Amino acid sequence: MKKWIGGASLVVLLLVVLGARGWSQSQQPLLFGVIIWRSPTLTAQFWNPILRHVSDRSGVPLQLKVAPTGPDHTAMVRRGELHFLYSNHNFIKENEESGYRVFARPTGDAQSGEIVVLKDSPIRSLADLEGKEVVFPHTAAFLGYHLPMDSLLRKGIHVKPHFAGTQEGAMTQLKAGRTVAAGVNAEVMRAFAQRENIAYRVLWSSDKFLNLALSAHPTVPAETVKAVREAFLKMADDPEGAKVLASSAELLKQTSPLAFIAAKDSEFANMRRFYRTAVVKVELQ
Amino acid sequence: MSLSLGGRGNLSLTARLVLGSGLALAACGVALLYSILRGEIADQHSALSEQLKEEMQFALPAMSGPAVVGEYSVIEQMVKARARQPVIGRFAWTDNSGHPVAALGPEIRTEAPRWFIDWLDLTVLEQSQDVVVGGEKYGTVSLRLNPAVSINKLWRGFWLRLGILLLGTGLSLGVTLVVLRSGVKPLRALAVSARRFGQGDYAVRISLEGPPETAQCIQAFNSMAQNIESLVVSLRRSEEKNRLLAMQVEQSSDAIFSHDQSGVVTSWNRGAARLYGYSAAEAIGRPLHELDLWDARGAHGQNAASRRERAVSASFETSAKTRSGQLVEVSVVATPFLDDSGRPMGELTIVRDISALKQKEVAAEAANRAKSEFLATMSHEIRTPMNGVIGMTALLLDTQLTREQRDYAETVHRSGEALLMIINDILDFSKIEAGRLELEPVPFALRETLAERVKTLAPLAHAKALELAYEIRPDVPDDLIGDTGRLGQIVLNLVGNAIKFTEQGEVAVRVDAEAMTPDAVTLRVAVQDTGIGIAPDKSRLVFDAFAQADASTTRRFGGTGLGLAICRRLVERMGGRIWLDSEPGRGSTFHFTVLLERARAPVPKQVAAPSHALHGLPVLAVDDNATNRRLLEAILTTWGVALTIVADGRSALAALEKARAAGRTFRLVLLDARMPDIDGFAVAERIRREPALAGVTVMLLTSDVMNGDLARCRTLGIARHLVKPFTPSELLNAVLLALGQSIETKTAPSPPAPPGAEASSRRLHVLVAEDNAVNQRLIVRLLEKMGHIPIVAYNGQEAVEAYESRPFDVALMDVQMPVMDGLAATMAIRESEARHPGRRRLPIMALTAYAMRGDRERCLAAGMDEYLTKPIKLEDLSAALNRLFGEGVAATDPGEPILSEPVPEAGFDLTTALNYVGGDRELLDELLGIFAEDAPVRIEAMRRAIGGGDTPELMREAHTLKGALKVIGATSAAGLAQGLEALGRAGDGTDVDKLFAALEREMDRLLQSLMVSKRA
Repeated sequence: MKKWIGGASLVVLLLVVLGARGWSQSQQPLLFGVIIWRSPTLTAQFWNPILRHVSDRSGVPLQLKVAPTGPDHTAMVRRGELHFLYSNHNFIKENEESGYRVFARPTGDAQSGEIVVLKDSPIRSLADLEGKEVVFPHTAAFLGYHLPMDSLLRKGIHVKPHFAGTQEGAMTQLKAGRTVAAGVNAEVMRAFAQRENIAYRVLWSSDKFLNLALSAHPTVPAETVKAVREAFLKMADDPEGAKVLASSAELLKQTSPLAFIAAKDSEFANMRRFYRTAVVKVELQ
Repeated sequence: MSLSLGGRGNLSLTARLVLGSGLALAACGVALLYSILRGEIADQHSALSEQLKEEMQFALPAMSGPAVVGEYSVIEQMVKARARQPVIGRFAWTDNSGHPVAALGPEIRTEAPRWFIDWLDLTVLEQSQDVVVGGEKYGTVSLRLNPAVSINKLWRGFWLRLGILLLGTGLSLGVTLVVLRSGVKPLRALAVSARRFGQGDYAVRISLEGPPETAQCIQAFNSMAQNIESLVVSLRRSEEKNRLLAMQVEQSSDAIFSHDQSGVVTSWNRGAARLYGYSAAEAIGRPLHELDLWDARGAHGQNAASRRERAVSASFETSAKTRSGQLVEVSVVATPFLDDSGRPMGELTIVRDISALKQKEVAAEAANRAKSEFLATMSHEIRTPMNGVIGMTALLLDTQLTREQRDYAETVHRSGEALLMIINDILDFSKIEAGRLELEPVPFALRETLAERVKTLAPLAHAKALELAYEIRPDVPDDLIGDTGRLGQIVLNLVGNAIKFTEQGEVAVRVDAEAMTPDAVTLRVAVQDTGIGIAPDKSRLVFDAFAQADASTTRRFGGTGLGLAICRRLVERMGGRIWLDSEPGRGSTFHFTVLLERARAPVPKQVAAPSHALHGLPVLAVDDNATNRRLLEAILTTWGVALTIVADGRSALAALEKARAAGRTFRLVLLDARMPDIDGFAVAERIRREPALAGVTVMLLTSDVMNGDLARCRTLGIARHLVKPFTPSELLNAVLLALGQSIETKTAPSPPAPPGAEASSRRLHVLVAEDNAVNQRLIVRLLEKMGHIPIVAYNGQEAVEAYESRPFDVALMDVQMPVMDGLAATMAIRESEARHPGRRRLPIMALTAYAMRGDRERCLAAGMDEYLTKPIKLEDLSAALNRLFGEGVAATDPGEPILSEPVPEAGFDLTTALNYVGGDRELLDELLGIFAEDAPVRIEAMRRAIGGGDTPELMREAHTLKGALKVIGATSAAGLAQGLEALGRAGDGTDVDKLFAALEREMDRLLQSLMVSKRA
């Protein structure tokens, strides 16, 4: 039995190795879907060098797949057309069934969303916001809109939402006094207040959430995922990979070094939970 | 105006301008058009390239987004949209799988023709580029541009600019044409005027119009026409003048020809052809020497070459040689031509035939010579009978004659003498003119000779109270050879003239040596007077024959007017010259020079050299006259005396005092009698009074002897008395006599006593106013012969003064006189009588040379009582006097002259006597005649006085006789008379008889020789 098990293992291993190689060499490249950052071109400029490096290192050919719109991306995730994801669209209630499993994420701490007013504002509580105009970055903003609006809605407070387009746009309107309160990314708000030298009060703050993750479709063999995962995780340590990462980070004007670390699916359970119960209408990028 | 193009050379200015500017404009336009088009093509090309680039730059990012997300429909829309631009030819997209999405641009038709498109050579721009995002290729964009729009744009631009160019060129040419038409119109007028001007219408002028340049041109033409017109006028005049000149030259009777520097004849007039026998055609172009125009011996042949080299004018006479070889006397004037820089270019020669003139000249000279010879001969021929007349008259006078006959004969004699003198002058002059005057040089002693000559004139000078001085510079040699007679004639003439024309002052003769060699000396003699002088403009005339400074002079002073002319010729014959420095009113100085040989041996002198006793003798000489001082100094110094000479009496006394104080005394003192302040007599007086000067010998020098002088001399112990001028010999004689030295003198035998003269019954005091000397002497003599006492006045003024000073019985008044004439003098006298009623009325008798009608009436009207015409005859005068004073006034017959036979020792010097009267033989004869009459009277009177013991009478008579004897140069007799005078004065009768006998003997000899000389 042992011999069979051993022999079978050897064969499986051989098959897996040979199969993987043979797939990787003979098969079409695996689709690597990403959420759109600002524009398809910029997104492609960011991801194509990374994916070429990862393909080169992992031996798994990857092809970037950018959907024309956020809903298109959500639909492609739902339909499982993408082998790998860099997205949060797989965490929403409608896409839980697609079965994408997280295997890595970009470095960075979990972040929270807040509802803030200027320090001298007469608004003292969320209840004071009733009927008031509150500015938010945009409808797809998880920390700046989904979480604060959902909380307001759950508390039965009705505000007049107004979208500034970006995080700092919402903060600038608050500072200018156009609105009495703003839904913001807590980390971004701190940096903004410090830079602009404004004092604010936090009326409400959410739990901490990790946002985007690298996930693989269940149909992708584990070895392939593993090879890809390894390539991503080692990329920052690889001199060529680090150079590619720095170049892409430079493209997006990111100050913090870009790197990928291993992640488990459970680390994004709170997000899945939020989307399952959310009362706010969820729109994603 | 037409744009006629009848050939390149005939193109009008307008055509040239239009054509030229049109071509230039067109060329510029084409060049401009070309350059603009090239620029535009380049612009279009770069615009298309830029467009292509921009399109790509736009398309690639725009398509990368849809390409990344795979939105091919979007890409197709984009392709179609971009392809709609007119510039796009084709727009295409090809994805990685090779699927194309393409669209063509709009179809645009090109308007330009093929050649234009080909010329433009606009390349079809096309580009393909991959769409790469993040290193991944998503597809390829291809783009092709359509150049049709650019071509059409360029084509339209081309036509627009071409149009502007053509329009501009046309406009420019049109404007040029219009401007030229207005500008050229006056130019055409100018052309027409210039043509008329060229055809000789020099008066043509154009009115100013048109643009300024044309107006200036017209103005310049007018100005030029004006200048040319005046030039033409002056040219015509000049041409006329030249033609006239050329005609005159050509037709001149003189031969006029010119030659160049090489001697080739360049012009030849008709006169030259006539004279030389060569026609102009034959002469011109030939060298002068070939023509052989001159006698080789003549002046031209010898001087022509050197004259040509020096380029100087020449004028001379020579002989011209004609073609036939005949010699013609000609005068030649050769004048060089000079170019602007003064270099000789040739010579103009004017030749005049003077052969006829020469012949006339020779004839005239011959005639003149003949005339002079004739005159000389005639003078001689006249002189010979004149001598006969005079001589025979003299002989006649020696015979027994009635009083009347004697008067006539004497008048004839005197008139003959006067005539002879004139004839002598004329003879001299004629001889000189005819070249027949011969000089007779003999050795002579200058000082003595000159002194003798000058001395003869002393009485004349003294009679006018004039100083007569002479001086010979010590360096002038004494022993010379010359014609003393002629030299003396010159000196006497000049000195005589000087005395004649001088009323007061002095006449000085100075002699010095102008040049001297061992063999010869040029004497310069100056005769200076203080007389009336001569105006500078007349000073040259006086040396001409028959000329005096003033025509009236002749009448006033007499003379033939030949004296100075003769002097001049004599001086010139003696190798000298004569000239005059004079100032009217200040006197004259006549200078003359003569060249004389020096005698090799000393000339014997009349007086021996001064005794050695005079050497070192202390002598004091005093004379206020500087000339006389110099003379004294010169003479005395040569004797070796120790001379002190001073200028006045006071200085003389000081010198005497000084010498006495020094223990010296002067042995001899020479005193001038007449000096201002302290005169010679006063000085002599002092010397006489001073015992310390007892041994001093005093001599007196006088110019004239006044009454009582000799008595004063004796009183003052003056040893000798000498009348100036004196010769050195005379001075020496006097000095030696005074000092008691012996001298060589010949003692003349005493003349026989003359017969007594008859005294007149009634002696009238007659005032004779007569300027003419001859008449004066004649009248005086007549009056004297009649026993009357004539007092002479030389003019009316003097006559009036004489009348006022003393009473007269009668006056004989010449009507024509200088200073104041007889009529005026008569009226003055009558007026004076009217003022003095107590005076007796003076009868006045007129004397006139002309018996003109009315003269008598005029004379009587002036207050005269009688009227006599010259020549005055004795009986007329006598009758007139008788009418006035009645019978009994007529003088007794004149005494007969008692003359013995001529003796060799004449006892008087005829030459000296003549010189005394300035060579006036007539006057001398007159004087001699008077003397001959007077002397016996004086002798007789003296005899009576001696017999009666009347010593004053004896003294007076002796004095008078002495004066007369001195005048005629009878020095020996004069000395005896003077001795008698002295005895008379002293009242000493011891030696009177002896001395009187000697005087009588001397007088006899003298009177005899006078007769001989008169006959001669």
